[in-house]
Parts: sequence; C-alpha cells; structure tokens
Amino acid sequence: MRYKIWFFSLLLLLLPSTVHAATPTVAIVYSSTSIEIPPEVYKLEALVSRFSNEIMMVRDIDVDTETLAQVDSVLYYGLSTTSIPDIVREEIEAADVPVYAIGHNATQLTMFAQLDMSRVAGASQFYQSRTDETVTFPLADVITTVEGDALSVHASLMRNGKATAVIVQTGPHFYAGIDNLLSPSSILLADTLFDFFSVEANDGHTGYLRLEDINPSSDPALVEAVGNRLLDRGVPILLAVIPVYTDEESGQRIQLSDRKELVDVLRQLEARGASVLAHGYTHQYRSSETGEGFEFWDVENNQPVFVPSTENPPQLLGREAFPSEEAYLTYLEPLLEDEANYIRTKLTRSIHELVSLGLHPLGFEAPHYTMSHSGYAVTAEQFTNVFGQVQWSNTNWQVMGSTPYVSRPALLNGMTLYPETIGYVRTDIQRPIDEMRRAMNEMLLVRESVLGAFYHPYIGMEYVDDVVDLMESVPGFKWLDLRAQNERVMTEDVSIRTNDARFILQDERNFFMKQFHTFLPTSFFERMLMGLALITFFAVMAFLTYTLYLRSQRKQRLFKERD
Amino acid sequence: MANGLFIFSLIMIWTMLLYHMFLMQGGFWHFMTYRNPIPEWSARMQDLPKVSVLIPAHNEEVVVAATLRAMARIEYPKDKLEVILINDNSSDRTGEIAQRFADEHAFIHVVKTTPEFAGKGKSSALNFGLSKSTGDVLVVYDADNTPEKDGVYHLVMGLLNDPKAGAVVGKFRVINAYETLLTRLINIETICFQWMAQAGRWKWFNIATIPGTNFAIRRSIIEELGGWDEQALAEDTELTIRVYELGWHIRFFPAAITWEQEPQTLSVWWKQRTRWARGNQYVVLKFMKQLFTLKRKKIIFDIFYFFFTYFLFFFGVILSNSLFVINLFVDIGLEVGNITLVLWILAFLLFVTEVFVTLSIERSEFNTQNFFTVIFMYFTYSQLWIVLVIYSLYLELKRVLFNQEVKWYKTDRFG
Repeated sequence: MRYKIWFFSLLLLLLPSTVHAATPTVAIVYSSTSIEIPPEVYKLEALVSRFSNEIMMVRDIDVDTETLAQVDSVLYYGLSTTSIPDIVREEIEAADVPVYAIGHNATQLTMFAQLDMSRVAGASQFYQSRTDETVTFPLADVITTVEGDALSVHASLMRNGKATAVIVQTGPHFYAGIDNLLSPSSILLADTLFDFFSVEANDGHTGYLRLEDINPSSDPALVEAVGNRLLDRGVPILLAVIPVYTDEESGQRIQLSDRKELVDVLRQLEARGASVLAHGYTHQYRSSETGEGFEFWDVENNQPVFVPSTENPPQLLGREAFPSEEAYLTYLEPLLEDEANYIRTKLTRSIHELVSLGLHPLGFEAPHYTMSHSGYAVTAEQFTNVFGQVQWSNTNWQVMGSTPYVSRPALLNGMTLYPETIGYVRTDIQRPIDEMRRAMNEMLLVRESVLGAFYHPYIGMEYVDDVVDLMESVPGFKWLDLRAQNERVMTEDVSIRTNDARFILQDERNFFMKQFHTFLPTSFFERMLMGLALITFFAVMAFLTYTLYLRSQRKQRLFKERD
Repeated sequence: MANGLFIFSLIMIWTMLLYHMFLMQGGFWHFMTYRNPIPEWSARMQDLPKVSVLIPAHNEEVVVAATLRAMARIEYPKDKLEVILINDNSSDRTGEIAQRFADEHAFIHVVKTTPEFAGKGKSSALNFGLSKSTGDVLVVYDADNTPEKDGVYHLVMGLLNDPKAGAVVGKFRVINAYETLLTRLINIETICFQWMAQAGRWKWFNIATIPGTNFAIRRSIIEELGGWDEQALAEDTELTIRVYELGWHIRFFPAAITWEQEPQTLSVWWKQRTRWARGNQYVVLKFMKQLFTLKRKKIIFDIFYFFFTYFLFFFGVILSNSLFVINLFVDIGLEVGNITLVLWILAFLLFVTEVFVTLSIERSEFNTQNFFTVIFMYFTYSQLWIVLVIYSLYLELKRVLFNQEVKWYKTDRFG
C-alpha cells in the first residue's frame, strides 16, 4: 500500500503547478475491510486536495511509527466499525496535530472519547450553523449524531423541529457523523474543511456552462443560436465536442470534418470566447450511438475497456481468483497496457482532429464521466483538467461524483477537476430550472463552490436565458474562464496552451501527414473508395506507360511487320 | 435510402471498371506474347486439313465482288480449299456476280438456299452451306469481309497447334474506318473490343467469343451440335457457349486478320446494334436460368459478365445518373464526398488510357485525330449505348409480352 501513497505524493511533487505556497501535509488514515483504497477515501482525498498538495492515504493497519511523523493534520475516516489499531491511536496522539474524525470508531481516539454518539437512520434535513440555513436532501442517509460538552456545532440533523449535532468541533479537532462521503450530505463536511484547515475562502462562486455532446450529427443552427446567445450574455461557454458520430442502427460514422457548417460555427464560437473540451473521440463503444454509449468504460461488463469494440473483451478477474498478489498483478499488467493504448489512441485522435479543424481543445470531459483510475493516469499525459464528475470506484462506474469546489484529486494524477454540480436542463421533467435551482442552493452551502452546469444545444433557446439568469442571480458570481486557467493539452505532436486568453498551438505533425490525415477517410466505405481510386490511378499510369512504350516501338514494329 | 442506392450503383459500375482494367492488362500481355509461338507452329503446318470457307450472303451485290476477290487471293493449298458463297434468297445481283468468280476459280462455289432453308437468317444459311461442304475445318466470313491472304492459314494454324481449341477466332479490322465520324468511332470500339475483351479474356481465362465472322471451327463440333441454332438472334454468342459446354475452348489468335465494313449511318448502326443487344440479352436470360447446370464454370463466369453488362452495370449507370440529376433539384441527403468526384475523373482517364493502349497496338491508329475522337467518344458514342440497351430491353419486353416473332435484320452494306 505504501508504494501507492508515495507514488501519488511523488507525482504531485513532480508537477510544477503544485509548487504553490507551502500547504499542510495531511494524512488520511482510514479503517476499511477493503484492500483497495475505497471510493469514499478517494472522495475525501479529493476534498482535502483543495487545501493540501501533500496528502497520503493510509489504511489503519498500514500505519507505522514513521507514518505520521511529519504531518500537519490527520483525518481519520472510519468506514467500518472496528477497533482502531493501538499504533494508530498512539501515533495520532503523538503527532499532536488537529484531527478530523469521520464516521465510525471516533470515540476510540482520546480527543473524541467524551462524545456520545448515536446512529440515526433516515436523516435528510440538516441545519448549517455558518449560514443559518436548513437544507433537505432528496435522499436520506444513515448518520451519526453527537452529544457532548463544550462543542461548537457546525451542522445538525433536524428532526421533528429538534436539532442534534452531526458535525462538531472540540478545540482544533473536528468530528463529522457523516459516514458516507458519497452522499449529498457530504457537502456539509466539505464546507467545514475551510474551518479545519483555517483557510480563508475566496468570496463568491464561480460557475460554468457547457454545451454538451456537440457532435457531427448536431444541428449547426441550434449550436450557433444557443452559443451566440450565451456569448452575447457574456458567458465564456465551454463546448464539449465529439469529433466522430456513430449511428447505432447503421453503424455509420460521420466525421466532424464532413460537417463544414458545424465546424464553421464552432470556430466562430471559439473566436468569440468559447473554449473547446474534447468530449472523447466517439462517445461510444461497440455499436452504441454517439452521446448515448460510453467510450472509456465497458458498461456491459462493468469494467475498463481492454479491447477495440470489434473484439470480445476478456472478463476481468478479481484478486481472489489468483493465488498471490504477484500473480494478480502479472495478469493485470497486459490488460492495463491494452486499456492505456486504447484510451491514448482515442484521445490523441480526438485532439488531433479538433486541431486539424482549427479548434483548440483546452480540456477533457469523459463520456458519461466514466473512466478507470488507470484511464485517468493515461488521460493526465495529455490533459491538465477534467470536467464533470469523477468515477471514484475503479470497479463500478456508477460510483461517481464530484467535489463542490475545484479540486485536484489524487486519482486524476494531477489533473484539475472542474466539477459539474448543478446538473442540466432536463426536458423530461416539468420544471427543469427549479430542479437546477434546488441543486444550486445546496451547493451554495459550501464556500468557494463551483456552479457547474451543462446544456444540450438540441433543446434550443427555450431555457438558455433562464439558466444564465439563475446562475447569475448568485451574489458574487463569476464565470469560469478556462483560457485564464493555465491549462494545456498535449499529444506527442501537438500542444495547446493559452497566454493572455490567446491560444499557443504547436503542431509538429508534418504538413504532409496533416493533409493525409484530413483526407484519410475513417469509414469503411470511404476507405474502400480511396483504395479503389488508388488502384485506378495505378492502372491509368500503367496504361499510359504502355501507350508510350508502344509508340516508341512504332518504327521497329513497322520494319518487323514488313519482314 | 439514397445513399444505399448510390453505393449500390457505385459497386455495380466499379466492378465492371475493375474487371476491364484487369482485361486490359491481359490484352496488352497477349499482344506482347501471341507472336512468340508462330515460328514453331509454322514448322508443324505439314499435313493440312481440308478447309471450307462459308460466306452467307443475302442481297450483297454491293460488297460481294470485293469479298470474293479477297477469297480468290487466299494463300492455302487450293486442293484443300473450297469457298462456298451461300446465296440466301437474294433478289439482287449477288448470285450473278458470285457466279463470275466461281467460273474463274475452281475452288469457289456458289450455292443457292433451297426453300426450306431460304430467307430464315444467317444460321439457317450456314446450316445449308454446311450441308454442301466437305471440309474438316469450317471457316466463316460475313459477306462484307475481305480477309488478308494469310488469314485462313493462320486460323488453321491455331486449330492445328492447339488440340483443345474447338474454334479459333481471328481479329477483324474496319475497312471503312475513315469514311464517316461514325465509322471512326466504330473502328476505335472494335479495336478496344478485340484487345480488351477478346485478348484479355483469352489470356486470363482461355475464353474468347465467336464474333460471327473470321473464325474457324472443327466440322466435328458443328455436327455434334447439330448445326447453328436458328432461333438465336445472336447465333455467335450462342455457339460460343455450346462449344465450351462440349469441353473445348475458343482461341483468340490475332494473326488471322480480316477487314470488314461497318455501318456508315446511324440508322443502320442502330438496327444492327439493337439486334446484337437483344440477342445477347436473350442469351443471357436463357442461360441464366440454367446457369448452375452448365458444366463449364468458366463460361458461367462469362455469362455472368454479360449479365453484368446488360443488366447490373447498365442499371448502376442509370441509377447513378438519376441520383445525380435528382440531387440537382432536390436534396436527397446524398453524402458523397470529394472522393466520388475523384473517382469520376479517374473513370474517365481509365477509359481514355485503355483506348490509347489498344489504339497504339494497331500501330497507325494512335494518331492526333483519334486522340480527340476518343475524348469525344466518351461523352457521345459511349453514352448512346445506354439508350440502346433501354431500347432493346423495351423490344425484348414487348416480344415476351405480346409473343412476337423474332425477325432477323440484315445489316445494310455501303458501296
């Protein structure tokens, strides 16, 4: 386990952008029955990444006398009920740093020993002390409530008009009775991290609006209308573009380059201030339709994509199927290599095609937000950010979510997460804007939270102004301008950066290859036609040669025939 | 829908173009090699067979003198040669003119069809001629042909040296090539036909088609087949298939050359070609029905080629043209990229270069005048073929629907 921790921290150290002002060194110690780092711990790490560039995640049984020697604060996360190993308790005590305990087992730590905790099911309504707001989440949780002396209460459970503390502070130490950090109520915890780390939050909120799933089948007129309206209103929109459209029924592929009109619209929007995100290459795997299908996750088998869609994927075996950890890793290695190749190829194609069309992708959004952890590592070779949500689990795509504020989760390998937090205009419900408002009001409980939303251009203009009005109604609201964020997108041959909102594009693909690439069709049929044209061309050349040869032999033949 | 049809038409058209590309390669190759065995074969021309030259003639007074003059010059042992002019129901001076030659040359005979054979067409006349002949080898010339003097000799050379050859087909050239624009186009067309279709198919598959004239066939075969099929409009295509069915092949040997006259006016050309097209359509449909019962797989392939030419390719062209025209007026959602334009240009260049190769094979034919004629041809003469096939399909359809009788049209000659 340790190699993983060091690996992550080493990676973080290597990244130039992390050389900020010194941030605290944080240890996340967790109790769990799982060998792999649980998704909840990744989520916690992601939240903490707002406050620290040096975070280690250690399972309680892996803690030794060195582990906590240098840390500035400790977060203990009890995912399951267990006896915290003595060494953990001793080391935490010895470290003498602020401790934030979450979930189970906290009373085993001395600083929380005097607390009286009880488990409560069906918790959905909470009161936040800082904002004096009450919030009701649509889903109820099982949580832990706390009673004790001299506590300052950050958040409470509201039940029958009675408040019971859920997140409390005793001295420098914090306790949150929110066991499940993947639940919506975790935003209350996310907000208290500002207090725990004594960080002054920036005022106001930033937000973004993404035009989603723009692909060769998109109606250029709608994209143009919606995009221009938003730009007119001063929204530096994001365009999530998919370069290839695959039709589910016919399997037919359309390239963005075949849709000149749409490309023109996108270029014009970009020229007016929009930023392009590479939203995968095809946004589908196997024969599913673009925009519907997943691209980097094999949903049928709920596992990463190991083989091209034409082949039958191997069923991923679990650790338990192998006699040793070594055997398991040996088994896994080639599969992960295949996955990496698959993802790398697709991302490279996506970037190259967008660049060839005169666009400048600045960020990445995974189709349906799904990707394995190894996939994120590959993506980090080419992108510096991810938009939307993160797949916290490496084995189940459905375990996904985001942080309320901009974060830099360890599992994104240094990429910045620009969270999508307030959803999108759903045409399948009655009052989509109200639904977004509800999500937004939840988000506003968190300091520095990002209001990230998206909008499908095919809906048309109907809700465009409503969404902008909604978001801009937040006091101190600012639009996120991706071009000012120092992002860069890079393949082996192409790199895109921004400087003063201007693009700096380096394209090392040579001219011939570039031309070839734009001309090289990708559909089977067009490839066939191309092959046909080549064969015919060679035949024409051959016949021309024969003609010239026969002509040059004219005189000789004349004499021969006379003989 | 539109795209599906377009893809279909593309496949139909390009299957044909690719096949012809392939044939052209074979044809060029045949030209480069067909003369190689001649010295060796000449040495074996010892024990020569008796040859009967059959010339069916129906009202051929305009050309028959020239034809018989050429026959009189044939270089073949006269004791082993008989030239039989079959005067089939002529109402003009054909018989009279022919008789003059018969009087002068002992090996030239004129026979007149008896009523049971008379006026029924070329097959019937040939069957009558067959009954009057004694040769082991039959050579057929149309009444407008002037074979070169060693033509018969070369046809026999092919048969003698190729024991598997049931028939040997020579090359024909156009005698009135520079009379009118039409004959110039036909000249180019016939040169192409011989060096692509005949030479190409021979080189790759050992297949050639009997063109109705300038060929030699073993008497035993004709007798086994019971003579020529008097029902068939294209008796030559029919005969070709039957020869292959017996297990023989037909050799294309371009050393045997004849010169023939081609229609000088469009109306004559039209009637002649309509007969050919209908005849071939008839043959294709007849044999398509029994396609898989045919013994020789090679010939199935060849029938399929005819089927492609007269039905699939033709349909592909019509479809592609229609889509193109409709597309000019209504948006039918055709998703054709630039590549199809490139293909169109390449198709044109392919046509032009293929014709150039065949023309340069006939030494003097690749000249400035023909250079431009070829380009002109693509847009005019070649396109006429589409109209022709439509027309002949219409006639065939009418014939089948109203149960009409097939009427033989004899090509008009020019003086």
